[in-house]
Amino acid sequence: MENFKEKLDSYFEASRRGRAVWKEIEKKYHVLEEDSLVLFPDNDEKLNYAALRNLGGYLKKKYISRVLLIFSDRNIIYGSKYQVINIKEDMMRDLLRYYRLTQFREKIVVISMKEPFGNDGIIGEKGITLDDYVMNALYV
Amino acid sequence: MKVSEFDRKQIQNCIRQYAEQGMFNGRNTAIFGCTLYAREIRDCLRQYGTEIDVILDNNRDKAGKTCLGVPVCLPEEYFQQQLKEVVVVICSKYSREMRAQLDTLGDKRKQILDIPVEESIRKIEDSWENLQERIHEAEAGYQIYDQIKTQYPKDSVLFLCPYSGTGDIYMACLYLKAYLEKEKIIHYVVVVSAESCRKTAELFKVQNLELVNGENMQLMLKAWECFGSETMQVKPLLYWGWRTKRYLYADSYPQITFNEMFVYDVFGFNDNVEKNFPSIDRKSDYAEKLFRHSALKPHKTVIMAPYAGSFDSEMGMDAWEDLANKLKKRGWTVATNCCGEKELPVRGTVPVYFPYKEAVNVLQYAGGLIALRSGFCDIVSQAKCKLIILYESGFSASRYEYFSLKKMGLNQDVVEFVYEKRKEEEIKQKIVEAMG
Repeated sequence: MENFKEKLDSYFEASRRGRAVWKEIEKKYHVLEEDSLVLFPDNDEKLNYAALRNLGGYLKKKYISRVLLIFSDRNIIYGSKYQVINIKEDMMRDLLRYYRLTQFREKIVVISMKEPFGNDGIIGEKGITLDDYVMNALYV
Repeated sequence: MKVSEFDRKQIQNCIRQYAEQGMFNGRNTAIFGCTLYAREIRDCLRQYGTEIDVILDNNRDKAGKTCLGVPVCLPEEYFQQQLKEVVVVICSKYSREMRAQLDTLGDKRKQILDIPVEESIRKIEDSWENLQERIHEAEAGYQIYDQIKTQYPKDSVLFLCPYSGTGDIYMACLYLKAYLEKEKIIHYVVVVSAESCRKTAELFKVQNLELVNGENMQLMLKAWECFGSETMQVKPLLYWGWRTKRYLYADSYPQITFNEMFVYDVFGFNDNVEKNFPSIDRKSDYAEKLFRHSALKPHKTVIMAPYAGSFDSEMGMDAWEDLANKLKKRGWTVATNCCGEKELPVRGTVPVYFPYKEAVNVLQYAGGLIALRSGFCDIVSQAKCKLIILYESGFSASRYEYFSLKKMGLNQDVVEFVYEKRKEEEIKQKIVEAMG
């Protein structure tokens, strides 16, 4: 049980660090309440590109004027017309741990099909595509 | 899901305030979204002599149909045609983008009444104090999980059922056996948060069953959301129910039903998975005794189930009473499945209540069921009798495309109708003819 307590405490520490990551981003990039954050934590090329492909649709659907794309340094993407922020992988992990604990802002999308954010069970079934999933599961 | 008391008061207070100021006088009134709150808003407006003219909704599948007896229209199309001034009532967590959309329609002929409800006024916090509170919650959730877990073998998996809908439990348990085999799970505990759910799960003779209150269920889910399956042997048996989970909004996908969401999203199966229906005790004489006691005719009784836990139907009790009278003229005896003070029997019918484990037997002994779509319909879906199910257009909780027993593969002989107030007489007639 002691080991478990240490493990839980390490998650809490990670979430505290994650909050610090968020506050740094908020300050550095002057993030406002109406801006949206889209996080790309996974090295899933197909999913990530589907998310980028449908990003314009998401912004239009939700009347969002500014979006910040946050990548971990595994997934560095250059040349996007949107604000792109690259953070270290461990910072992304901490930021996600923070998000898993609390909805620290309204508009935040995590591009992931991993627990607890989602799964890919429905993709490919009954004609449902990855783009369908992105537009109607993630970008809602 | 129904409107909470807090939200009801919010709606009433807002509408009273603006009605007394004359906001609705001389203007059309629209509600934005076929939402959970729409009926409450409509009923409240009626108290001040205002009827809604239209419901605006961005869902193209709903446009052109009706909801609450009024047309549903895409916002853009409505404002292209609409010349009179209109008040648009918004009541949604998506209120910001709804207002933004209405602004782009660039029309000065509208006024917007944005009613704040719990889901839209929930405070988003990134303070240190807030984080500490969430940490305490996660700790508490883990302790509750641990208390349950220690009562069972070490390798036990806890299956959490986040929502207290009996239909959700039924669907989850339908595929549980196949999932246990697939994942080679030997010991498990199904954890539910309502007595009705416990009784539903019992039908499937699950290995271990625990009942916790709703708050403890949410705490466990929050803990699992933070710590994950690498730390907690937990699997939620629903495709939604925790904050960060994303799932396909199947509004635009008629090929996806409630059943498919369990098959694909919850359990990761394909269409070939076998359903494991609960076994029925054919030797039980419960139904025979019930009918004798209630003076109901075997095989010539219609049981009505006019109540649904997840939505309030537009079909009033007068309509059910009229239906009952029509059936009685055809020689049927009619009973109402009801329980407790809030569920009154349809006037002129016999009140009956029977446990879930006897439900299939009772219905087969009766001969017929007419029911609002609810979890009860899933529980009795295997009954060999005339099953007539009523859905309602416009509301997610009763949507035919998503919850049809036939489309879900639960019963191919079921007769299904989509109820609309303006077609009530026609539907009643069809129901009576279908019953025979």
